[in-house]
Amino acid sequence: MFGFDIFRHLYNFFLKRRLILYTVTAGIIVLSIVSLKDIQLSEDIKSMLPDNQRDFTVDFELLQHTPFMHKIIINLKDKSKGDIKDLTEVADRLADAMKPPFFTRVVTGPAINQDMDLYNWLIKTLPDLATDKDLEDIKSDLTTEHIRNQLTDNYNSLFSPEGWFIKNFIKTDPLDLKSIGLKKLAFLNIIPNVRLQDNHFIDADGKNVLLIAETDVDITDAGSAEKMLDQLNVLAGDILPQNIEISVLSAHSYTVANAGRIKKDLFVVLSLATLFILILYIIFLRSWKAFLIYFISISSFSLALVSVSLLYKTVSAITIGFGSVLLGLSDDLSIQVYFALRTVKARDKHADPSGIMAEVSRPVLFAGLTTLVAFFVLIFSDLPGQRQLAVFSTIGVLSSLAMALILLPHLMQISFREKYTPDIRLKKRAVAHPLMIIGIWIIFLTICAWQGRNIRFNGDLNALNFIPKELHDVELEIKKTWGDFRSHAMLFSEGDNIESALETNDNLFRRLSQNAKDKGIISLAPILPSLKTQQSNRKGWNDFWSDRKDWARQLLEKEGKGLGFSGNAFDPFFLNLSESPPPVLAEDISVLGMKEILDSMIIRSDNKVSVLTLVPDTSEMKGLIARDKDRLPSVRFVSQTHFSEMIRKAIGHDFIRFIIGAFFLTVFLLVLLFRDTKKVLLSLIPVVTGMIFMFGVMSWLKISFNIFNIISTILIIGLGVDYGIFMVCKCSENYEHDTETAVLLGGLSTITGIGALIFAKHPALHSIGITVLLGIGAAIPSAMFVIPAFYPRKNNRASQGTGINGSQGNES
Amino acid sequence: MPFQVFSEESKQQTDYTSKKDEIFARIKQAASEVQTLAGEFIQEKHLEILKNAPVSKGRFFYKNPDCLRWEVYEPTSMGFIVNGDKGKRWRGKSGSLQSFDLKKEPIIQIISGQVFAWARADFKRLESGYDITVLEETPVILKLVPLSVTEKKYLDYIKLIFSSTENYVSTIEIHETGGDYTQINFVDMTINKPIQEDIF
Repeated sequence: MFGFDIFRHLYNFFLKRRLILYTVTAGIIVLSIVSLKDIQLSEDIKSMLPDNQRDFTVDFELLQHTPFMHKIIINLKDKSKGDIKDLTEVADRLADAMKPPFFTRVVTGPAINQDMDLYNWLIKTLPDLATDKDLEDIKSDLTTEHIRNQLTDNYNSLFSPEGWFIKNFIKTDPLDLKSIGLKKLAFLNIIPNVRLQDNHFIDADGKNVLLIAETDVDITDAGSAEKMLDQLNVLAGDILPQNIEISVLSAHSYTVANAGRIKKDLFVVLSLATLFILILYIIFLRSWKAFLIYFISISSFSLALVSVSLLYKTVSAITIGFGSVLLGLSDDLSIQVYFALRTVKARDKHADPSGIMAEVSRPVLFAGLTTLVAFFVLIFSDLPGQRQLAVFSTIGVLSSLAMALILLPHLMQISFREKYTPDIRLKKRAVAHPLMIIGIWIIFLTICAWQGRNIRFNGDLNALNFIPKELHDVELEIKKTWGDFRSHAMLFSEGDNIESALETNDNLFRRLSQNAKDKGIISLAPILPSLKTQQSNRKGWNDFWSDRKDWARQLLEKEGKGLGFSGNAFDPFFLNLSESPPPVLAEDISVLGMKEILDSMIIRSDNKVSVLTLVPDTSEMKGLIARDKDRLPSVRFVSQTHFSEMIRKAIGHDFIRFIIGAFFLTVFLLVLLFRDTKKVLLSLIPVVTGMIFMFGVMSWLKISFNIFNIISTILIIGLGVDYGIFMVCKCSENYEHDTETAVLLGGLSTITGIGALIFAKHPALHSIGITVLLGIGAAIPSAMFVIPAFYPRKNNRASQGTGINGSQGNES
Repeated sequence: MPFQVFSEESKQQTDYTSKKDEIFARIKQAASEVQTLAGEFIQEKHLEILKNAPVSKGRFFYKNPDCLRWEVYEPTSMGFIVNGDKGKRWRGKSGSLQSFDLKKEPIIQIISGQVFAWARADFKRLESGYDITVLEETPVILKLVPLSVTEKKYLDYIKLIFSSTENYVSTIEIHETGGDYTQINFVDMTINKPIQEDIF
């Protein structure tokens, strides 16, 4: 038998120095556990976004500027047929009660006094805003017939209910030029179905009132977000009458829902997993020493975590979550050592543990190293979270390996004069129909591979968020009531200052107007052009009217007289024409009650200003911007769909790189270790079976592959190859230790421990559960039955019997 | 003597103020018996932008609690109908009817709201928007001054003259801030006569 004598020597070396070994190990472990409290945790999802491509980082940052993304949208709905005034009063009371520290500002409507000011402002600023196209439209309307019709219309409208309101505009705007301004204003309508009443945001049916609240609570801070939402519920309970229903939508709602779901899921899953593993250990091990395996896993976890915290400024919560899962699996190494030492002890009380260690160290070391390299490939990931995970797993597996091979053999020798308890172990048995097993396995793999060719990748990070039904219903309700105002694609016109950014924005708007026919565009350009554009517009306006003013006056007076208008009726209009208005500035827009819109559409950073334009998030729009890329070099297109597509491509790229990389590195290591083609290929059986089965079933059930599945797949490679190595060593060499039971127990503990995540309702946790359950679920039987089928004679010779039996089995 | 006149007017005003509740109660009682109202109206516009005061004529139909038809037929044809939350409007003799949701037509909503409030003599609602003063008792003449700052910018006051039976308003004068005003006289009014359903 081939053995690693180094571990024999190491065992013997520490035999007389156990106290030092225990003390040093305990010191390191205690120190690492104590250091855990100082670790800076980060829940930032950015750790799972590629950081080597500037596009990802920039796009992610820009996506944070999506209007309303960081605001709390509150919808108050009157379920009775009450007066809208009552509803707005309740909204005001609620807004007044929402105070710091949770709420910094609540907006119930624009800070505008009344519509009249806005109309007059539009009329007065037309010289700054009217484009050449607008002047063309005015020119085509300056005909005797059109003016007569317009004035007749004006005159008749004086007798309508709106007459008193229209009268003022007839004086200042007899040609209805304000309609040009109103069309421009429509480009700022971010909330499609909103209308204003008493300076409140009211829906089209007059049944809903909208409040927009701001908060300093970070959207990733689940604890504070929960407190903030609780406070809002308390205020709503105190203030809102029974007929008024409140719906709240904000990124915080998702954070709280996700955090709450994960907590509930982990409680259920960990309880179930602990219970199942305990049952497995009781059934299979029946000794206090089984807890040594637990001890090694926990210690490895602490050491890995502390090491990562020393290497990185912050530790990603995702790393910890995954890392704990991964290290929970490294117990396979200790289980193998445990079973090897336990078997010998049970068989021969005078057996030499150092000799056992020489035997068992080889497959354990092989398995540990293959697991290690499988995870180490993640160090080349574009995702910082995955790189951190690679470091974490590498250190964790190394620690686990060291403790399993050096510490555990000594700990196993501790005896408290325990009473010998019979335990479960698998009988060695002959493979009755090896060809049949291999045949069934090949057919099974072929079916799964055929089915698995349709597996799809899903790069949408939102798909990994847990969205409870109530929150989904609120999303739909708010979308139905107010229109879709949260899912536009965004175009950022960038400049060194506001003027250059607005100039770029003007160019962008011109291109969009020409090619997208203004459809669904929300832009500042029509109402706040750059000063350069305004100057050009003013010149155009003055030139236009200098030629036509006198003629227009004569025409208006002549036609007006016929209808009964007084001679000076239109003086205010001509007075406006002769005045040169000041340029429109961002501050003017704010005063007119559009501060919210302005703040969300002009983004100022240290040395850059970006002006936001919203467009429909469609592939046509993306194509249009891509075509115009050279003409609009300072414009950046960002959309959730586009971003998801980028992630999807990156994941797809990662998927191919890492799975193939991990697989080939594992093969390379196997070749190096075994130097035997058959052994190498057979060791891979559990990996190949697990992966193909997983792809096949996921494709069949139409479950798409996501970012969490990739990491879980590498787990299947790392673990599956362990089972393969153990079984190949067992079958091909005169290795007499209880490998089947160790593989079965290791596999079952993995399935029950991690596969229990399938019961989780959180999509990310559920994804891990599915991958592990399917992958490991197929890897174990393939290791236990298919590999021995390739060694029929050896197995036949080895022993006979079937099934699971007590420890008094045929080995005894 | 101006001072004496002022004192007399103040005294008279105080008297009406003390009788305001009684007058309101009387009007409310009379209005409570009104189920339908129909008649003609003559509207005079005294506007700065017009040389003369044009006169328009129209028809008016009301049915308790929330049906109204307001129709101008001279010098132009236009009007609107309100029936509950819904409505229709038209312009021109051949103008097609356009349906609308009352909540989306704030001006018609205000006008019909005023008409309904007066037809039902809903003083609670009216007093929430206006300071109401009784100018005369026989016939009852009320002066309404808007409370809202926004409304004050355009509207100085409204004067309402009730019919001798006190169950409907016979004249409305709307005085704007700049001096313009509109007078609407209701004539040939019929009360509680059946109105065809298709009118609304």
